[in-house]
Amino acid sequence: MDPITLQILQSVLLGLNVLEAAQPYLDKIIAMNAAGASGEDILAATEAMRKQSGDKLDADLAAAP
Amino acid sequence: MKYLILAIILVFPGCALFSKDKLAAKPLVSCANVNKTIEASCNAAVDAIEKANILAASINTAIDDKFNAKLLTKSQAQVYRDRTKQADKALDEGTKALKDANFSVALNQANVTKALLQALDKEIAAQVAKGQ
Repeated sequence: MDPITLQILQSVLLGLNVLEAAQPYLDKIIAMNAAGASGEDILAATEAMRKQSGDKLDADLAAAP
Repeated sequence: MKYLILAIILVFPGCALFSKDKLAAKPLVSCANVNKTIEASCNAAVDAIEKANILAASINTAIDDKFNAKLLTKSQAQVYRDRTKQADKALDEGTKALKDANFSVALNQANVTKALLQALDKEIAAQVAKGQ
């Protein structure tokens, strides 16, 4: 099964529409795990992802007319 | 039908946000406890908070992408952002509860937030579909 098919199936089966947006975050966690990151590092990374994505959205909204 | 069942078997274990597999390969050092029930509660709460953090980040990114692609107006995107700010608050409280070893509160905050974000995800998709 190719990755696109898999992703569509995930969206349909789970009813979630943001899997495309989630993929880079999951890829980063997978890479961190592979590099031997500690549990503390992973928790901090997910918190940073949440905060940075919110900050970027806030900045884009503030910059728009 | 046979292929659909096969797809379900293949897909569910692979979806890191909703699978029972832990997101982090290593547990928090601070979760280590001689009482294995407490240790398991700590690990479950950490995993739930981590997955909710990624879900919130994904929804923020999806809102941003759809706003930049003009699929959402500024006011629509702002309303959705206000909702993810509620998730931020709940997850900050959940993270604090983790640090205070209040694992049931942390797990509850993560689960409530996950439900809130899943509902928001559906609303955004419906709004985008309506506008197209």
